[in-house]
Parts: sequence; structure tokens; C-alpha cells
Amino acid sequence: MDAKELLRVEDLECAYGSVRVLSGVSFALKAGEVFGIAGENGAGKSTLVKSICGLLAPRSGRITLSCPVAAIHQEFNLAPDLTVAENLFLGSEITKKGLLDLKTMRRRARELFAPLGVSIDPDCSVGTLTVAEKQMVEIAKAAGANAGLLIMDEPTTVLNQVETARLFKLMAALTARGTGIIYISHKLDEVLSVCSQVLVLRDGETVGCFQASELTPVTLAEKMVGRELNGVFPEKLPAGTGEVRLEAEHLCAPGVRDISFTLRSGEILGLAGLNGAGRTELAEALFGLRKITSGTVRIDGKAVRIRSAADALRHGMAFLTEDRQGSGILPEFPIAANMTLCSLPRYARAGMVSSAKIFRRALEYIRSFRIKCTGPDQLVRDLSGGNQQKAAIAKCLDTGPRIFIFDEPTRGVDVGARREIYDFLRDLAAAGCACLLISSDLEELLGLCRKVLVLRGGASAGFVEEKDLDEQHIIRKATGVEA
Amino acid sequence: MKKFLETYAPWIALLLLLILCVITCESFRIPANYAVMLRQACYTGIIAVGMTFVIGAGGIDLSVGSIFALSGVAAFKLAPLCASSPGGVFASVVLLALLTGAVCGAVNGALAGFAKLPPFIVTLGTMSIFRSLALYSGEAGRVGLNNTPLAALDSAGTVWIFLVCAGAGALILSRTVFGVRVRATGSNEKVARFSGIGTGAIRFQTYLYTGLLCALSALLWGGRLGGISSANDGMGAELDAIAAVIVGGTSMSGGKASVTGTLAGILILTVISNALVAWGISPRLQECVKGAVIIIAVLSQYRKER
Repeated sequence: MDAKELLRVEDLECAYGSVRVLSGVSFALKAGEVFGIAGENGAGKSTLVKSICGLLAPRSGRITLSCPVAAIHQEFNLAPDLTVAENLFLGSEITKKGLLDLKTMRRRARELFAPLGVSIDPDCSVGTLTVAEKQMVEIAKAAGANAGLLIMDEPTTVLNQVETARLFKLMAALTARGTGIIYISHKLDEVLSVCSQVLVLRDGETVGCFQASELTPVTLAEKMVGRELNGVFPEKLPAGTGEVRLEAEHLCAPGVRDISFTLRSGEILGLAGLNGAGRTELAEALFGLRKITSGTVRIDGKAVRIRSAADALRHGMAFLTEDRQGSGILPEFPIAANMTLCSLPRYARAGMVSSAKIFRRALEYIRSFRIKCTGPDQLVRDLSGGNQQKAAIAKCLDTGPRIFIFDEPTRGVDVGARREIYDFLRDLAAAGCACLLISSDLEELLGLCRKVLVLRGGASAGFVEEKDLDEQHIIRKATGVEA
Repeated sequence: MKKFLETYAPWIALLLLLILCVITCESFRIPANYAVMLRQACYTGIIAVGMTFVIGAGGIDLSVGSIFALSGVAAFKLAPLCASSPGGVFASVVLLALLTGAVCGAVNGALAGFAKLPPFIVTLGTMSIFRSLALYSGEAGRVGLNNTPLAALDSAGTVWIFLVCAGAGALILSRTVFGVRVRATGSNEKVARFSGIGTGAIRFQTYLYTGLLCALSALLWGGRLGGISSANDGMGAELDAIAAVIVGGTSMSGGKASVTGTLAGILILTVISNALVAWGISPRLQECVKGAVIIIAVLSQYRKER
């Protein structure tokens, strides 16, 4: 079989500013092939996709494309106020005499949806669709572009098994026509079942390119992680016997239904669940960013009403958000200003801020967290992801919290800084702080927590206690296989 | 060096412009003319100080010209009814103007800050409302009041008041807790809110203070001329104030804001409009040049960001 080569990547190197995120990546993709890319968060998969799509100029190396590319990115690229049909043909609108040919667009939309087994009204606006439907629109849009090469970045995260099976059938039909597909997923069994070859990335470097038939999910995971799990995490703290700091009882809020738990001083309680299970929503409700509709929150045994983030800070809470750029830090502000944003009045006398005090405090954090920077005056946007995260943690820490909510603390953080963040978390708990750890990385939860609360569909799916604490138990509860 | 250039770009532009004007125009070689120019700059300049805070917090205020007219009309019309002694009238004028300005600013602030309506729409609406109220109560004409101590305020006094406002504004925006919070709110409202900052209250205050500054400006203007015109005064002041803020390097989307930059901005605009007269260019083309200057200022900002 001598299929045409669609894509060749040679010795690719990419960097954001001074941070190298991808180096020495080479592979080739033939027509009709499904090619997998696997790697942990931050391994460089999305960067690779961006550079193939031409959204990011590589620093060196070569990308040779012999056909048009269409991509389904991890985030939705849909205009919520436009209709489904308008979105599907955005940029390649079908016209008749200069006007949009709505009739043909509708018909083509139905044709595109047919193999996916969905019946979405082409005239409804995309904003009203469910996430799974939006994903289907993305898939239909990419498939309808008739591109020779299709890149799919985590296409099945929001799909159920039936929808996933239909997607795989569509992919088979496309490859039979000679389309090449690059398939990226965290679901390793899926990767191995649809791909012929798998490129494994780790920390921006190629581990190797393997035949899928030679791998099992376990061996693939080993290659991705590339290290024993021991040593990644600090030693766990002894089981919590501290007093109860935070109590939630039958807590309800938009996206959160009837959740109860207790959090002790010195404890790190894990919070697991699939995307959209209500973990961040719960954290936001506790922190006063989401209106609590019913239920009680008690701090140190006293019922409290927290209506804003300012209230939460006053009660000694801190919240490290998952969306660092969107709600955590101000990239255009200096490191020192970011670190003291929550606790600013402490550095002021009669409203006047003392820059010297802020500078000194920032310098202390930079030293203790080993933040790589030129000094407290450097803008946060010029730092790497890991160092930005450390600055964000310093910002939360500066209010002197007794209850600390971490939402995905190591997202987009490189391996070295990750261990430092774990050590910090452990030390914080050892000093008596009550910690709630939200993470999509199960290993992280298993490595740091003695107890994990699993959420599903906004409600509690139960606790996994220490004796049962493993991936299987968490996943079963999160997916609803086991009540 | 690069940072120095970025920070002082408006001042360097002002300096170059002045050198050009001194070389080409006779009138720029007469020191007394500078006092006249400075005084011209004061009235819009005081408003622009407030506008820097509003834009710095990610908002916009189109109603400043109307607040200017309404607070002037209200003060000059009602003050003689409140008191009879000259001292009493003067005190009433000041209090009434500031009260009106504060109420107008508070309306803007409540709608744009607490009710979270889009500031452009809110102040577009209040611009019409306040102007219409001014026209109604001023019977679409001039409301005069002579012999207030304000009329005795000379050029130097007016300029000093402006410089005090600008100096205080610069200090507050760059060095106080409130100033940092204004800029944080403009830079990313969500980050600010998640950091425990009451962003609604911050925005409310920026509009409130701008209302007060409009009233102060109206007092100085009306006091000097012995009255205020409900139909003409303050017309287009919002555009001049916004132009000064933008030319001064404040980012239109908020976050990056500087009152000293605004000071340079208002001086640049004043020098340009005087130079156009000195060069004998038709007054009808003045707005054309002003528009071009704003676009060039914004263009240089965007090129920096890329």
C-alpha cells in the first residue's frame, strides 16, 4: 500500500517567549491513516496542533502539508449568536446571486448531521445547544470542510458512548475516502482502538512513535508519564484529626445540588468528577461567587452567609481558580501588584499604598516559591505557566487563609513546578490549613488526599474513603457505574 | 529606555509639537499666550481627570457635557432663591452645583456599576436626559448670575485648581488602594471580583467623582462668564475629554490608565487647536485634525501591543 503522504513534520521546535514548549518533534502522516498523539497535560499536544494549523509560527523545523487542514479544537470555536447553519458554513458561505442560499445551507447541514445520528435544527442558534450538540456541530463543520487532513483534539470529552461510536463510524467513512486524521485524546483505550500509530510526547519532547498494536493502555500511560508514580508526590500527612473548619450541609446553588461534606484543619479533601460535574460551581458557591439557594455553610461551627468574594476572604478563605488568565491574575500588572491584590489594604496607610512594602513582600514570595523572574516589577504575562501559577498561589496565600480551595492547581504547569506546588500544598495542610483540592488528574488526587468526594451532574456521588482509594472507584462513581 | 519612551510618549509629543509651533508661529513666542492656553485647557481638563478613572475602570461616560450644563444651570438658577446675602448665594451656588453633579454621577454609577448595564448605553441615555433637563430649566437659554467671587478668579487661580485636581487624581490612581482597584477592575473585571474587590462599587465611585468634577468645571466656567448657556455649554465636552484621555495613553479597554498622561493629552489638544488658528487654517477643519490625532494615538497604542 503506497498512500500519498499528507503531512510531514521535521524537527519542529516551538516556544512562547523564552519558554520552549516543543522540541525535536518529527513524524509523517499518510492519506487514510488515523494518527494518535498522546501525552499528559502540558506535554505540547495543543501547541503541535496550533503549529500544524498555522496558528503558531515554529521557531525552527519544517512542516510540509500537501492538503487543506480542518481542526476541531479543544475549546469550541462557534459563534453562539449565529444559527447552526451559519456556523457550519462560516467562511465558506453558500450564496446565490450574492445572497445567502439558506435553503441549500439547511439541506447541506442535514446531510452533514445524518451520519452522526443527530437531528439538530439548522435554524436554531448555537448558544441554545447542549455541549454534546455543540461538539457535534464542530465535528460536522470540520467534516464538511472536505479537508484532506482533519485534526481532532479531545473530540469525545463531552460525548457519551453512543455518540462516540457514531463519531468513530464517521471517521472510518472519512479515512476510506483518503482523509488523514490526527486524533488526540486522554482516553487511551480510544486512542489505541482508532489509531494505527501513536506519537507520545512528554514535556515537549518526543518519547517515540509507536504502532498502536504494540501498546496497551497501561504501557502507553507509562510512556506518557515516563516515571514511577513514587517520588512525584510528597509523603501524605497522617489522617486528619484536626477540628472541623468548614462544613457544608445540603448545599444548593446554580449547578450544585444537595452537597454535604466536612473539612478538617490539616486535611486535604479531594473533589473529583467529570467536566461539568459541578466541582468548580461548588467552589464558587462556597466562595460567594455563586448564589447559595439553600443549605448551610459553617465555619468553625458557626453558620455563615458568604455573599461575595470579599466576605469569603474575611472568613479566612482563599480560592485558586482553574482559569488563571480569566479570573486568577492580571497579566498586564507587575508580579508585586498581583500578589497583593487581595490583601492590598494591609500595605496602605490612609489609603496610600506603600510600594516599598509591596516590593519587599513580593520578593519574599519570589524567594520562597523560587519564581523565575527578573524581579517584583516584571509583568506576570512574561512568566511561564508554572511561575504564573506560583504567583497566583502567593496572591491567595497573602490573605493568610485558614481554608484554601485549589481548583486544578497544576493545570498547564510543568513537571518540575508541579512537585513544588504539591510540597506547598502539603506544608500548608501540615500547618493546619484546611484544603479542598479539585483536580481532573486522578493521580494527583490519589497522591495527595486520603479522602475524595466525587460529584456527578452537580450532585454528590459519594465519598471514596482511604481503604478504597484508587482510580477505579473514583471513575465508577464519577460515571455513575457504581452508586 | 523603551519603558521610558512608553511612559512619556505623550509628553515627548507635546514637546515636539511646541517646538514646531514656536518655530512656525509668532503667537507661540509670546509668554502671555501660554496663560490663555492653559486656562482654556482647564475646563475640559478637570473633566478629563474624572474620565481617566471611568475609562481606567473599563467604562465610558458620554454624559459629562450634559452634567456640566445641568449642574451649572441648576446652581445659577436656584442659588438666588436659597440665600440673599452675597456670601450665602456663593455658598449655595457651589453646594448646588456639586450636589447636582454628584446626583448625576450617582445615577450613571448606579446603572453602570451596580446594575451592570453597558456604560456606553447608560451614559448615551443620561447624556440626553441631563441635557434636556438643563434646556428645560434654563429655558433653552443662558442662566446668568453675576458678582460671585468666582468671577474674580484669575487665570492662575483656575490653573492651580486644575493642577491640584490633576495632581490628586494622579496620586490616587497610581498610589492608593482605590486607584489600584480601579485599574484592576478595568484590566479584568472577573479577576478583580474573584480577588474580593467590589467592582460595582468601584465603578460607581468613578462616575460619582466624574460628576463632581463636571460640576467643579461648570462652576469655574460659569463663574468666569457670569452665567452658563443651557444649550451650548458643555456641548462635545465628552469627546474632548475622551480624546485627552486616549491621547494621554490610557487604554480604551481599561486597566492601563494615567492621569499625568491625560494632562499631556489635554495640553496637546489645546496646543493643536491654537496652532491651527495661528496657521490660519479654517476653524471648520479643526475637528478633522482632532479626529486624526485621536486615531493616530490609538494606532500607536495598538502597534505597541502587537
